[in-house]
Amino acid sequence: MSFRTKVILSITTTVAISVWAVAWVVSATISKSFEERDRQRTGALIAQFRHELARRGGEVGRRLDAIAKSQILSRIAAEPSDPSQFVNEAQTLAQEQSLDFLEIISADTRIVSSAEWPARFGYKQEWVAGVSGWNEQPAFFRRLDLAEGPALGLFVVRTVPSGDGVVYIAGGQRIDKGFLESMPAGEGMHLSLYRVFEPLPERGDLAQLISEARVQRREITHVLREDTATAIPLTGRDHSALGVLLIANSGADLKNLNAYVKRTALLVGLGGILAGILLSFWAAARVTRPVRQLAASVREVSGGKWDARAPVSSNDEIGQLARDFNRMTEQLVDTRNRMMQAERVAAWRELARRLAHELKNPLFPLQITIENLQRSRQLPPAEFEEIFEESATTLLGELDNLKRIVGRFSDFARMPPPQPERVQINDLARRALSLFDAQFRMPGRPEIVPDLQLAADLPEVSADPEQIQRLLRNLILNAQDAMPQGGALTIRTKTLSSRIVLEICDTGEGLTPEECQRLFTPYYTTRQHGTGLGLAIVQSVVSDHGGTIGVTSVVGKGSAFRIELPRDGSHE
Amino acid sequence: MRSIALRSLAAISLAVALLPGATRPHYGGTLRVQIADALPTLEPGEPARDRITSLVVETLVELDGRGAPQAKLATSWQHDASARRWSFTLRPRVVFHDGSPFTAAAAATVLSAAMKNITVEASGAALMFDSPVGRPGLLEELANPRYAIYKRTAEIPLVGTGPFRLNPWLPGAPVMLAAFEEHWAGRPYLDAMHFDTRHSAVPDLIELPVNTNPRTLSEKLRIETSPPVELFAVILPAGSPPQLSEALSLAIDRAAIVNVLFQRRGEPTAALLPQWLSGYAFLFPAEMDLNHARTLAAEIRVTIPQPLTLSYPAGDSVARGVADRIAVNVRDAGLVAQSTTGPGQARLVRVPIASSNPAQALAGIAAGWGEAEPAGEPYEAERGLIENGRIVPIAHVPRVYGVHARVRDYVPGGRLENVWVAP
Repeated sequence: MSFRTKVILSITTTVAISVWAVAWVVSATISKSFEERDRQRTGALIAQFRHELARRGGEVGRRLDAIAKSQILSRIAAEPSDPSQFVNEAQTLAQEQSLDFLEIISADTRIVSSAEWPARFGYKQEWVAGVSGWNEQPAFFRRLDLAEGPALGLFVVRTVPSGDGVVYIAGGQRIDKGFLESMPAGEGMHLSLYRVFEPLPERGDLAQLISEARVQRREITHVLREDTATAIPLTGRDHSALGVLLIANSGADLKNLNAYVKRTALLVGLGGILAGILLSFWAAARVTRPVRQLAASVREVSGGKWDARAPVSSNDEIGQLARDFNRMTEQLVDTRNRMMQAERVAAWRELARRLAHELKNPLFPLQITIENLQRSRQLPPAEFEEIFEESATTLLGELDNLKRIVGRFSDFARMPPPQPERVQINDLARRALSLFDAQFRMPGRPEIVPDLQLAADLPEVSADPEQIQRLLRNLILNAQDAMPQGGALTIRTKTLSSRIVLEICDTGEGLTPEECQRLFTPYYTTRQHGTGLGLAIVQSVVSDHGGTIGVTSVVGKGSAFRIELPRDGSHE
Repeated sequence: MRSIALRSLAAISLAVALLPGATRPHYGGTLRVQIADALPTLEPGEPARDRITSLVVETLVELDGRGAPQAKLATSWQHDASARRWSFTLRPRVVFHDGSPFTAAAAATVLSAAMKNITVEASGAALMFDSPVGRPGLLEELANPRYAIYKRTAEIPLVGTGPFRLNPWLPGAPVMLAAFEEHWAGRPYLDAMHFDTRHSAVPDLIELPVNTNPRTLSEKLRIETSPPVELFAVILPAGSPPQLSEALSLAIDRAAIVNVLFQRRGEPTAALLPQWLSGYAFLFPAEMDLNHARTLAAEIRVTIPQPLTLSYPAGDSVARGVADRIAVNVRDAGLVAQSTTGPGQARLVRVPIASSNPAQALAGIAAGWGEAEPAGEPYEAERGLIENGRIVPIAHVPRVYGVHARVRDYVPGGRLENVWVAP
């Protein structure tokens, strides 16, 4: 990851975290405020609900009082022995007093007349007899089983004296959706009613809340998703929960406000990040330009331009680093020059030594021959003639030897550039190996067994066939020399991505790591009569073809030369 | 002493003169009758209309209060031993309202068209009936208003021989009857009768629902009730398990229905014919037994569709009250029932007791829910009908009338031809 990227990430992350933190604090504060507001509103609504219930209960009571004072109730109370004539009175009275429910019950607790279920006359309502002082009792919730199904009502009971007993008047209002709609609910508040004879809501959390309120018979508040819901049990005279009033405070306002805060935070954050990016670019430009320039200089050095210099634009740590870098490259160039000079001197010395060594071998026979000729001048002509002929032959031979040595050095000095064409390396390898067949099987010498492991799908490459042949001959000859006791010579080819691989392996004496390191140095040889140019020529050919060469070797086990050539012959 | 004797004689003479005057029928006047619904037709044979049409048309015979045939347009009759051939001697000097004479030929024409499987022919002043099978109940048959003898004109649908003649009439319009001066039994007391659903003044006679509360009536009217002449019953669908009718019969609180919904008018019953008609209605117990009803209901609860819908005639508030109460009672037995004015599995019906003859009345009741005419003695026939498990009798109820104080000689549910109004 680049320094600039790090700077940008650091700044944007800092901005984002800062904005998120502010947004979180704001959101939390708002949520707390809303919760407090909801709590107050719910409390107010509950109080209002209770007040409304009391008011409506009082209203029902007043209407029952009016019924109790009516002429018909007086007659019912006066004629307790024949209630059948009053069977339809409750409907009329309920209609007059706008009551949803009205039952006139005789002293023996039988229904004289029922407005909500006229057909239930004569049925007993024993619950009315269990309470004394009905006229002072407050309103209560009561479940009714009607012909059309169960219902919930807010009831009041009044009594009218009748002979030795009383006539009961039980009246009420239906508690249903219509009742809820008449309840004043604030904006964002929602009232709903659950009655015990209704199935629980499908929403599991809501059903759970209702069940808890029913069982515990007390107000319970839960947060359901985004809303705050309070369940108020509606209990009957026996304190059993006959229904549950649900007051839900919509979390929509809070949600909208939080969404607004989040949107704002997002916009601010995005703006901050954008500003951070611009700032990062500016800061990075200031901070990383000298670093990048220094890095470019380093890359130049690594690319071989040892005299690369980094500009010094400040006096801070980066400037000091640039100055140190420049000083380092100056020292590198200086050291390289000195090393090149030393190597050049060493090479010349090596060349002189090798040349002297090569030339010394034929010069000694030349000197002996010429000295023999000088001494043989004293001999008779016939003998002199014989010696002369022998000496001449020897001299010519050694001169040829000298010419050959000079020619080899001359050849290495002027290696021609490759003339590439499409060649099949497998063919060249077979051809090169065939040249050595006779030598590998020469009688009296340990046999060398060739082994060709050539890839059948090896593609053609662009290369100079003559130079590749030369390369192969040198390496095969090198392997042969490495196996004086015989062995196996393996030539292997294969395809490797965009390259082909050529390996020549022997099972000879092997090389030490030091020998491996110097193996491709010109005029270096491990043999007594080598010129040290063979592998240097091989490396030169490989290099001219854009390839690479390497050697792995284990002393006593053998060596393996691995050449990789580009498939299209281009130099890499 | 003499003056006392004279005074006493004068007082007695005055009392004797006045007493018959208070009870002596008064000729003249119009009887205003308020009927419950307008009449769409005036075909004889429907109980609700027969109280009007019987004033206009007459049958050969009529049944008295005990169901015994009495002479009407026929003065005598006889039949052969197999009761296949009957001979009726017609009343002489009878004329139709249009002035044409009532003859055997005219009667044969009407009865031939109305009766099935019997040949009716005129033989001089006699009327001959020939049936391929014995018809011992022919007299009761002929007493049915369906076999009244009358003619039609374009404007008057009933031109009969009764004590009142029908004025030109259109369906749905009030019915105006005028006294028929040439009636064979003499002119009726009233000059006219006016049947309408509403009258401008307090009517002389009102047909009232059975649950009428006297407190709601005008002080000028008194309530009169007939003997029970209508049966409230539940008809169950064919194929219902027998336990269903039994469970319903045991669950229904008939006494409460009669006492409250019918305002103590009527009789709780588990029989088809009322006690006054059959004399054996008490043999069919009508008491509740809720525990037994629950046991029976438990046996069939899974085999019958629930809720069991019980239909009642739309607009009939009395029937609605009964149906609702039955639904409540059935619920107590452990079944779910629901009253409805739409199609229901069970039906609450009001069946008129159309004849004072038990067999005829029973046949009429059975025909009410599509049963064939029961055979055998009335008791056996009635028990068979009930044990079929398709009918659950609830109560026999009377007809209820509001009668003005000036109406005299009115017999509730009886014929109106002898009624007169005090001036």
